[in-house]
Amino acid sequence: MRPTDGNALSVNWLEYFPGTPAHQLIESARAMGTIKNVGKNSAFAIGQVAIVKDACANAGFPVRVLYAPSNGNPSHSLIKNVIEDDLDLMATLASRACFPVIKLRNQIPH
Amino acid sequence: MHRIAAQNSINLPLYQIKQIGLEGRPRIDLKAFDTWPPSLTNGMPHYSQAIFSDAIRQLGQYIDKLKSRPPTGVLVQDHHPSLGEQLFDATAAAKIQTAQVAMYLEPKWRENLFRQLDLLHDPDGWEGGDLPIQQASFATFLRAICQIKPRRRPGLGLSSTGHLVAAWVSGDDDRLIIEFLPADSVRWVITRHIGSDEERFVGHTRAPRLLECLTPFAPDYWFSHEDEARVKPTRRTSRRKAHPLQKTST
Repeated sequence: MRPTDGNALSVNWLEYFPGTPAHQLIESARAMGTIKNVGKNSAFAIGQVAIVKDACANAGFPVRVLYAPSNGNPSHSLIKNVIEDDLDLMATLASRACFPVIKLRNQIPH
Repeated sequence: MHRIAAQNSINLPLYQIKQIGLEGRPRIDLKAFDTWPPSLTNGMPHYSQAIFSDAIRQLGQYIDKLKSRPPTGVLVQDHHPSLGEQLFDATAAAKIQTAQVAMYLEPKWRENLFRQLDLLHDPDGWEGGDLPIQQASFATFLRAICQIKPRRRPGLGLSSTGHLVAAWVSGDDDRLIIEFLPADSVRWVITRHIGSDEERFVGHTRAPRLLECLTPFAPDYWFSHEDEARVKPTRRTSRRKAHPLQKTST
């Protein structure tokens, strides 16, 4: 996260795109690539909204997940109230809310 | 080159100093820590001894001097450097810092560290506005690593503000994550799983005290290899001493 993110973690809503999970992943990666520089070492962490909200609430950091489409990325969403500098919250998200991690560029067809 | 054994007040050799004849710079051999017999260390893990040694304090002072010394070999350019040049300069400065304490790091450790730094600063995928590794953060990292001397290498990351982050994963997704800030400041978080429960511990201290702060969490569990004696820390991390009047069974 960055200070300019305004306490919100930028994510993609996978189910916005129809089709199989693999197709959803490809389309999400493609959408992400229109607004961010997707390098060969970039990766997706996949989480479920309910688990993310539960994990953060149980850790004392209630968050909100909002659909927030942006130009070029119709599946864009935000996890609000994520304090950028909070190691405890970051550790909670990493440990309980987001898995598995998938290399991003591999999902974008050449 | 000759060898001098230095002794502390209880007549134990703490470390050996090898004096390099041509340069005259004292070279401290820290391997002596690994050979302390358990009977003399009261069963304490050998990492704990590193906290109290004069050798480590001297090493810390040496690293402090490096922080105030500008990096050598950096080309001064009067044009605005490109992204690739900025990233290259940042990693070069970090490698120069590392080289100046290279004698305290295993060569393989150093090679992998350089490779990881290069990966972190790959211009392909670099996010605009992010800062490359900051020398002050890297100096804190070096100080901590030279003191802890972890046998296992961490995964490395970089915050958007250029602070180095190191992560060790052990057991069932147990994690130790340390963020290295300027001025010897470190933040750390431990996540561990005890059965179906998850526990997290967060701390903020200075690099010289990091190992002491991690001692209750059995640092060997994070820093040693799987084939070494690693014991997963349990809820009860401190042994309660028997009361002097308490009867004990024989």
